[in-house]
Amino acid sequence: METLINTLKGQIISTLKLSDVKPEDIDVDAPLVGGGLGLDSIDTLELLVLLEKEYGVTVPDVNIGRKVFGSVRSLAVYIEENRPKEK
Amino acid sequence: MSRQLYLNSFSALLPDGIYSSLGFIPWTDGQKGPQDVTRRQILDKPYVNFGKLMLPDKLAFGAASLILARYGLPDKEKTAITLGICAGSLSTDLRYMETVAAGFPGPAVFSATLPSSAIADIAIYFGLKGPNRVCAGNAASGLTAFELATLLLQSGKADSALVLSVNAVEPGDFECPLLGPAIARENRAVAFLVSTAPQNQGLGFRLNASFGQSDKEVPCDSGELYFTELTRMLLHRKTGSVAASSCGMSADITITKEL
Amino acid sequence: MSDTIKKAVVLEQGGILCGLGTLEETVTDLFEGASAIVPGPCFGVPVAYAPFKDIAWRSLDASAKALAPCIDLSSVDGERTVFIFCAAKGDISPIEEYCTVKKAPGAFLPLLSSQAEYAKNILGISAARTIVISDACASGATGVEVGRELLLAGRAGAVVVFGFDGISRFVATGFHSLAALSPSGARPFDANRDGLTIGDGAAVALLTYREPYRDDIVVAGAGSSNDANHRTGPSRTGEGLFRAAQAALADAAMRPENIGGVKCHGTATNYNDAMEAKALFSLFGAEIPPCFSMKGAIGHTSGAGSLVEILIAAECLRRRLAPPTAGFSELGVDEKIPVSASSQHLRGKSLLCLSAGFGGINAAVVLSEAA
Repeated sequence: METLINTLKGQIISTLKLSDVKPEDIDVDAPLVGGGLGLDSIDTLELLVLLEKEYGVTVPDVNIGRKVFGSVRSLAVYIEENRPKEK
Repeated sequence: MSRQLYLNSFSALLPDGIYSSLGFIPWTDGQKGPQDVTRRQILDKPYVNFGKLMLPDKLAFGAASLILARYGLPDKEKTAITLGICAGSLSTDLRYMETVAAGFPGPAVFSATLPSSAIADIAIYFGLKGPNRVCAGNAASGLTAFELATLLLQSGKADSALVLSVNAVEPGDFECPLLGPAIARENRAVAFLVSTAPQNQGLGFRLNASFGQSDKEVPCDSGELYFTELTRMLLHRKTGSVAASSCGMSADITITKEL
Repeated sequence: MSDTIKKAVVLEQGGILCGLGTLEETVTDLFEGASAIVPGPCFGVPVAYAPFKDIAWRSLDASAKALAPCIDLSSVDGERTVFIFCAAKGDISPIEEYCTVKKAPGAFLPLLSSQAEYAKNILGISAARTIVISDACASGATGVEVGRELLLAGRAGAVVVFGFDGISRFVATGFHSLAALSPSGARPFDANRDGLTIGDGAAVALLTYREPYRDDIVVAGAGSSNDANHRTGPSRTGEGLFRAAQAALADAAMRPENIGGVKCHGTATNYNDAMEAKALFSLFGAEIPPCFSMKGAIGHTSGAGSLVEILIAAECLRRRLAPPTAGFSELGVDEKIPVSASSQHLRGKSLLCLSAGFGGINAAVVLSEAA
């Protein structure tokens, strides 16, 4: 889980092109949207693309989305629970 | 009744370096031109969205910041932004098509695939709420943006105008046949702050700008060398005139010192 | 002592092409509550869309040819004519063809300057200069505003405004990635609205500055603003659109009570319609005149769209009627906006036309009967 969280931090920074932000700056339990990172609705859509592209995971509706993007940790948990299992 | 106009500030990201009312700074080692401008060179405070800016938007934002991050504005609701950008959002369009080809169309890139995207971050970050004019046409687009700004100021629809002229092309796209011969293969962004009062945001020149028609066949340079000429005059605080002729349009931009 | 001739910016002639057809066809069908929205897929995206009535119009070449007869420039001085080309993206086929099959550009480049020259030649226009206005989905309205400004300042003797924006894979996939598209079709201001519907659109208009005749429609005023809020979403309070409308009224020397009806932007996204309703309430208070949106009938026709809609609005003004808002059945915004699935009588001889685009750009135009 910790490995995934660390990887996710890097991917969030590079996918969302967050300049001036280093992985150690990101609080894994702080809200992703409306938090210190200043993410807006387009960034959320980019994270949806990231989830699908890198992890094969989709978010079926807005309400689940709100929980999923609650924090980096909740994002990691969602990925772990929903990523296609290796055969 | 004609209002007197003033040129109160200027800035430019040109192939040789950064111009502003604080002087000229050449690009540092490793920077090949305006496309490599860093946040620290145009803004003192960290700005988390700077990295998201696509090339045209970054150049426009950079030039705007060199003026607006340093100086305040009296009435942001009556501050217009006008922009001439001949290559439009072509470099961003090509980046978007890459995301489509990869099977994952990118929402952030798509939202920037408009010529007007280049003014969006400026308006948001600096709170400029006046009218906008984005001229994404021929080589006279920057001149047209300047002219449209003067019309807004004369009619009272705006009291200040940020006039921008941007040429944004990724070096990797220089050979792309979609560009055509009329687009200069170098990156530039020039900004002027024009208003109806001598506010002194670094400068306080009286401005007289007149526009007319011209049949003169002057080689069109989409970077508009006459803006570069004006920028160099302002850098050295030299008064004088720039006479321009492009694509059926003529312009005489004269600056004289406010006493 | 003779009367001073009171000149005005006259909307001389115009034509459109959209999902419901030409200007005449569209106006007739709009008043019958028809819609050109068809089920998807649209370039592989599972959403409804509003294609040109004649799909051949989707090329810049064919649209310009079809619209050329709509304006008569025989009495206009080419030496003093300005051509204003308005588009968000215009005809994007050169980009798509190059990126997918490496085909080099043919008749024109994707650059709007190239599209403008190409369209101007097909329209048969002789103009002293060409301006391209690309202000996102407010392009057409901004083009009309700029045309008015140039005429009033004596910088043009006549202005031809032309707009073109065609549906493409580029645009369909893009809006889909923004989760902005309704699967089944736009329902402006409706309680169950779920997104916008993209549509094809093209239009041309001739503006002059002269003493108007009794049955002329004039561009009485125009104004614009920026929300300074978000890359794609409008300000939640509608404050920017409100200020653009105020600026247009001031430009027209009118007050809200002079406005007989409102041609809304009404894209049918959750945020736009909520925001627009707030802007209308801020402007009119409790006395909001009849409102309508065309986007449930012809889709959101992008940059050209605001010009398409202004021309349709002029025809509605002539009839003193607001057409039904196709796709609407139950009001789904907090403010009591008089939108209807039936026609409504306008309450005066002026119409306020609103449009808004990405980057927070808002543009408002006031059309009036000359007499």
